Amino acid sequence: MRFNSEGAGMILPGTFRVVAGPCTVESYEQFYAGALAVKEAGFGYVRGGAFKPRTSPYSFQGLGEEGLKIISEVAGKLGLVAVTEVMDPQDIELVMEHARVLQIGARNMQNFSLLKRVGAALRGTEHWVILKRGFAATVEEWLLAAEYITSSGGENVVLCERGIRTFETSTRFTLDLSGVVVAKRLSDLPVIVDPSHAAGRRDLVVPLSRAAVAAGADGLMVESHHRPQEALCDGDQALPAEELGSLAETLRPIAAALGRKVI
Amino acid sequence: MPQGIPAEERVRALRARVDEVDRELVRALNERARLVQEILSAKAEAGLPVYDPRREEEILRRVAEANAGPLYDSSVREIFELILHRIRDLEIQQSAEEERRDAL
Repeated sequence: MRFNSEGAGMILPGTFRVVAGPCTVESYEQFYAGALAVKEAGFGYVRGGAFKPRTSPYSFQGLGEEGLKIISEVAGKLGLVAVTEVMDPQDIELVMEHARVLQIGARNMQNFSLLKRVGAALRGTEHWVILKRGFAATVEEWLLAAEYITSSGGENVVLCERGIRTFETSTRFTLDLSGVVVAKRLSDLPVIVDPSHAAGRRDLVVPLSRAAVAAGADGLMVESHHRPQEALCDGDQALPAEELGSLAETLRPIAAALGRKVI
Repeated sequence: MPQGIPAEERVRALRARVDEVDRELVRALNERARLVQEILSAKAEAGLPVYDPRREEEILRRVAEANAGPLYDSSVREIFELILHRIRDLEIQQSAEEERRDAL
């Protein structure tokens, strides 16, 4: 197991790690309010995007370096671990200065030069990387993408299932829980689930989160916003921040039945 | 096979040989599966993951190199990819069943 033996790692045996926070860092106040709700719900990892891979070049692209500074300042102040996406190999060092956990998005899952560069940058550090599954990628392709990181020296890799494209239109993507189980059986990497992007609608986030715990996932990555109706991106799928506490409550008994503690 | 023999009879005889080769293939595949099972239980003991793409690639390269035709090297690779994955699936299913039995 690649679990960090010092207990400082992102994924620890017998636990279920929840990462929550807004899709995007919009301002200091917005991110602080979002991160505070994450802390109050009892979670230790906060997410927020500074570089946003948007389908349209005219959509909000994120605050960039300014956003990263907000993330690290707020996370530091609240004693949370920061999780944020890196899109460009030239930003890896900068992102690592501001966040312990990097994220490689679904659209970059097979950006092999990025994967190799992140792997090399992670070597021998306390940093982790969350590798999201591409929405048209097989489990095999996903594991091979992870292999690019590990074979370049980055041991602390967490896989994240975030839904795949199917013919179903009632959800944005289809959460592939079978893929989570298969990935866990095949590899020794931890696997977490992102129910927010998979569903694209907030009413499914809690039931899918419960299913993820029950299926044996090692954690969750959930989008939350203190004012979803005002969110600059993905407001439809963001859980209102005040519901994070009840999310934790609802997951606890399921996790306990499987010998895990929600953290 | 001598050309004097009627074509229908030649087909029958060749089919019998194909059937014999198939039986041999099935036997060999199951022997391979048993060996893989042993490897995987040793791997489990050592705490190593089932998935090892480096080793898979090595196997695929080796079988393609060993191929003298008439099959294309790429076809041999494809066939072996399927063999590798099916045997691996079998093992995963068995270990999951053991896990389930242990949990009960």
